[in-house]
Amino acid sequence: MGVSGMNCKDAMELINMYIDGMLDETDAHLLEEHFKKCSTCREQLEETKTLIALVKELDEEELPSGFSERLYIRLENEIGKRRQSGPLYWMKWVGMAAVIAVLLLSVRMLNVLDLKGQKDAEQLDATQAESAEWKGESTDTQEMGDGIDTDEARDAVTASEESSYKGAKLDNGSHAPTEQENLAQKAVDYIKSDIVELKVKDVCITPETLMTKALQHDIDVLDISETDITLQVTAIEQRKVLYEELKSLGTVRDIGQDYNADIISVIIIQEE
Amino acid sequence: MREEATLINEAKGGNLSAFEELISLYEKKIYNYCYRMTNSREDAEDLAQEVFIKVYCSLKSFKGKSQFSTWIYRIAYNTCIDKHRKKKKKQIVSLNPANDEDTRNIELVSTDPLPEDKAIQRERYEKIQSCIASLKPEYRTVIILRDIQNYSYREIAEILHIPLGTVKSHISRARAALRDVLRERL
Repeated sequence: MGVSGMNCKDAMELINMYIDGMLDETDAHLLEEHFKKCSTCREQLEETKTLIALVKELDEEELPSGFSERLYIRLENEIGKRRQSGPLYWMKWVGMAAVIAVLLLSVRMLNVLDLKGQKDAEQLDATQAESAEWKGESTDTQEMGDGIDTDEARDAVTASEESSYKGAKLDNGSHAPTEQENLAQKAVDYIKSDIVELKVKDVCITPETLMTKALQHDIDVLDISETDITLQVTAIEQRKVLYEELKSLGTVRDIGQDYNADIISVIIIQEE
Repeated sequence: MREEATLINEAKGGNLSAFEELISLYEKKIYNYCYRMTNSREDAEDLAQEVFIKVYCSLKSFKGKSQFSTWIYRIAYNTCIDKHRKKKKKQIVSLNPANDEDTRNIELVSTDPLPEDKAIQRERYEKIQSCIASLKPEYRTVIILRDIQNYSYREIAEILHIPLGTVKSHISRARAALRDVLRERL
C-alpha cells in the first residue's frame, strides 16, 4: 500500500476485514479513499454487506421439544452405564483371572514337577495371586471406557497377556515365556512408549481427528497442536484401543524411550 | 443463575445438576450450530446431544486455558466434521448432501398453513440455509460462527485451532463462495 493509495487487489482482500471491523484506522482510511474512486470495489463492498445481512436473516432455531429431557436421559444412561459396568466388569475379570491362573498353574506345574522343587511353586502362587489382584485394580480405570469388550476370546488373550506382563515384572524374567504367553503377545498390541509416530496418507487426518477418537474412548486430551496431540493414558485398555484406532488411520511406530509414562504424544506425519 | 466458572467446577466434581445448568447455557447455540452444519434437524439433535455427552465425559480435561465456550464449540466442530466424513464414506453417490433435506423442507413449508408471504420468507430461509450447507465444511463453519453466531476472528481461530491469518482467508473465501451459490439458486 503505497502513499498514492490502494490498488483493487489489496482492496478486495481487505473488504471482509473492513466490514468486520478488523482493520486499523490507517488501512480503513486508505480503503475508504479507494472506495471513493473505484466503483467496482464499492460494488463488491455493497454485495458482501448484502450477503451478510441475508445470512443474518436466518433466525435462531428453537430447540426441538423434549430436547433437554432426551439429553438428560442419555446422560443419565451414560452415567448409569459407567457405575453399573464397574462391579459387573470386575466380576468378569475375576472369573477370567481364575481361569488364567488355573491354566498357568497347570502349565507351570508340569515344569515344577519336572525340573524344580517346592520353593518355586510357592513363588508361583504368589505371582498368580498378585496378577489377579492387579486385574481387580485395572477395572477401576477400565470402567471409564465406553466400548466394553464382550468378545470372550479376546478378553482371555488380553488377560493372559496382562498376567504375563505382571508376572514378568515380578519374577524379573526368571522363567522362559510359555508358548501361550508368546501367542498372547503376538495377538494383542498396544502403545507402549511415550512417543508415537503416525504416518498417514490422508491429509484430512489431523490431531483433531485423533482428539475426536480420544474423546470417544474417554482418553483425556492434554494438548493439541498443528501436528501432534498429547494424551493421558492410564489404563492398558486405553493403550490398546489407541493402538487400534491409530492402526486404522496409518502406519504406527512406537518411538519413545519412556515405557512408564502415562502421557503419550502422537505425532502425525503426512506421507507424500 | 450461578457463574459459569462455579458451574464448571461443580460439574467437574460430579454435580449433575450443575452440569445440566451449565449446558443449558449452550444447548440452543450448539443445536443451531449443528443444524446449520448438517442442514438436518434430526442430525442436529443427535449431534448436539453427542457433543454434550462428550463434554460431560471430558470435562475433567478442560483446564481453563481457553474459554469454555470455544472449547465446547471445538468439540461440536469435531463432532460435525467426523459425522460429515462418515457420511461421505457411506454415500459417495450423493454429490450434494444438502439436496435431500432441501426438498423435504420445501414440502414441509407447502403443507404449513402459514400466510403466503410468511411461507415465501420461510422458503427463502431454507434456500439460504441449503446454500450454506452446500459449502465445504471449513467455509460452512466460518459463515455460521462469524455471520450467524457473531464470534470474533480470534474466537474462531481458537475454536478451529487455526492461525488468525487462516481465519481471515477462510472468511473471505467462504463469503465469496456463498455469494456464488446464492446467485445461482436465489
